Amino acid sequence: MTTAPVSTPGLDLSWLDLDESWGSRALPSKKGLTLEDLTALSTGQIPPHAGAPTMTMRGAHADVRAPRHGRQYRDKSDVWSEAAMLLYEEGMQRQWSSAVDIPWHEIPESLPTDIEMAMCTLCTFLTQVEFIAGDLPGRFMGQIHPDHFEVQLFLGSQVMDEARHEDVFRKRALVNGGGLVDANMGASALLTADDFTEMTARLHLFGEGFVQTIFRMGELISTNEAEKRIFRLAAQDESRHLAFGVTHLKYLLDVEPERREELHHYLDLQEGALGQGQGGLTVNPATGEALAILAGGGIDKIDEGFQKVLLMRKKQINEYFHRLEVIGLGDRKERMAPGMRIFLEG
Amino acid sequence: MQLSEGTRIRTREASWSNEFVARLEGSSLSDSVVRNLLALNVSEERAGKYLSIIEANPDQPFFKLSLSWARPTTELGIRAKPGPEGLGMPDINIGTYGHVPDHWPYENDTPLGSHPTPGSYAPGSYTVYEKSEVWADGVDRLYEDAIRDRWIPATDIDWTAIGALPEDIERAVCQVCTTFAQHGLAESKLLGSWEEKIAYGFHDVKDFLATQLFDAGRKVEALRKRALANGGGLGVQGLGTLYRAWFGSMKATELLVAIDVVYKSYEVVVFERLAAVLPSAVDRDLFARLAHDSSRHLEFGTRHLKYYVQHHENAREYLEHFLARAESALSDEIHHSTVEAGALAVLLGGGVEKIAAGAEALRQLREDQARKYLLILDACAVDRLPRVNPGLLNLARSPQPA
Repeated sequence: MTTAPVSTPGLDLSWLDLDESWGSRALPSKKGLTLEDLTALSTGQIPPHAGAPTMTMRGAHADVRAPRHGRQYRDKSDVWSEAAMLLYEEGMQRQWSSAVDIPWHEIPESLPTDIEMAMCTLCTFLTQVEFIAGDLPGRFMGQIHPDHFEVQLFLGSQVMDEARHEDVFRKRALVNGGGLVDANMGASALLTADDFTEMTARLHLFGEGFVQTIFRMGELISTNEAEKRIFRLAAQDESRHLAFGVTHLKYLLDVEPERREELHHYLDLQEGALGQGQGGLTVNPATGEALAILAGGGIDKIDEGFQKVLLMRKKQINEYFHRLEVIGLGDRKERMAPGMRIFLEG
Repeated sequence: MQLSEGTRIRTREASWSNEFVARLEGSSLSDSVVRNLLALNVSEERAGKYLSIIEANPDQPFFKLSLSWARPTTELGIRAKPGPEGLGMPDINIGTYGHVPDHWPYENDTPLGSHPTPGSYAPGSYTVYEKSEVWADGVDRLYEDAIRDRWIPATDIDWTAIGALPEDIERAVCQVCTTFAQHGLAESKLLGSWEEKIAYGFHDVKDFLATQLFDAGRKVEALRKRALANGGGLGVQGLGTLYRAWFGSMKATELLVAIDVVYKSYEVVVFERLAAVLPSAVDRDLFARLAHDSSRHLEFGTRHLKYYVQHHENAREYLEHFLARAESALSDEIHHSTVEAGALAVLLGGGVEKIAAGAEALRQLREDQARKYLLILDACAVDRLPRVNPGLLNLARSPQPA
């Protein structure tokens, strides 16, 4: 990065003489012109340690007068994911509208009240937690250095996704004769995360992973195509958020393996919270009961429902462990919270 | 267990038989659970099956449900109907679910229309509880507009068709892209960091701001791609003193007015002008899309300002400070981040050799920006002209010297 000459007020034409990158062109690939396509140019080199904490875009010529912003992560390892650009572009391609992409008319007006109210209970819970999943990444967007701006763009796409999830579950609760129910514990304990990597471990890897399993089992708990579509589309979004978490933590361990115990510590805390109302995503009593009724197909089939919920819980834990293995934290099997370890296969 | 009189009445209304009621009273179910079963309109046959499951599994605590959610304190019976544009947020803002109180009473993540469950109430990190500090009438519609109008820079822009441009034009386009991409980066940072401060009851505003910070990210992406797609490359950074007002905002309204009224009224005019004059159809398309997005943000800012002026008891006094700081930061940015002015003059004039015409066109642009800004404030019942930052007026009066 070079420094531009200091300018005085007036029409400054110094930018006409910046010759370093003249003639270099980023070429579109089969997915259009993506952020990854830009990395072929010299401006695509992502520095391991960012420059001065100003707002200078990576590759732009700095103005030495630029004010600083002291609350930015400078080390790439603190925030980076090798998949950030890909996931952002995928997020752009897969935006959807809860207003028109959900076949709302497919929800039968005559759903049994226990099914309708169970769905409203689940939706009340989901509309609570999805906003937390947007507020928290929003907090950290301001702390991403412009040299690593692709991460900031990805987080912005996540905040957008979570707003849409908040809206779609609210809409489902209000469209078929039910309503929201009283609010139980959501996931606001996640807001205690004080560091980007802690946020990623607790929100992306753990919390979103558990919610993702619910979404992917939407076929089991839905009675109609509208609900199936909601869960399918939300799961698609959630997969990106999870992938970001996994790839960030993997990158961190690849370049700073000495931070392994720190990651374990975050997970010790989060796993320890499971089973307590505040941290117990999907295990608070109201949500658990609602899930079981939906999975069984009614309160008169609650035994079948709980068998399916247990299967879901098992799936949650095993998918979580698989992600840990991908990150390089397979040794967590031995130290996983006992209430979770009992669900592990093999 | 003996059922309470009220529950007995309800069993009769539900046509449950005396035999079944007797069976219930001999079971481990509580009166409260029976009432909840009745609230869920469970028939005797289905309730009987549930009871059989419990009786067959006396050691299985999971089957003994509380059903505490069956009789919430919220409004039920809501049946929102999709409108011509699908099921939008305005369509579900009905009954108590559409009544946004002037002061949001809950410090946790209780959604609008719901109420906290006693014993399950942990305060969150929200700090904005007054509706007047964030609200804009029709924000729910603006949210749906943003979703509907989404576009994808990677594939919706025909990047291969920009065509060869004269070097000065290409470099000027790239310089403008560098400047406004940087502004977008700061815009999304600020809006993102304020999301968690806004109480949950104002979810329509939180949702809209999510679309705006997403739009801002798309602006960064699209403008960076443009700068790198046609041989020009990134230019000189914008000075960034503009953001002092944004980062320094101490109230939500201060931030929203600084970005979505003061700054956006300037940004929209630039984008619209570039969409009209740039020689490449691809560039015109790009800036027209950006102008459309920015207009939505400006509309939100305007509506918020209107609401704030009419509903916040200290609005007029506070706005003096908010507007003065935001105008000053914008004026400083334009005066001292001179690369933007030079690039705009080249583009508006049609090339370096027509810089004199470009300087006059730039003056006209500055005048149009100031006029748009002041007219918006007029419409919000804020007569700003007598006290507007003199630097902004000076820019409108005389072109910057070449």
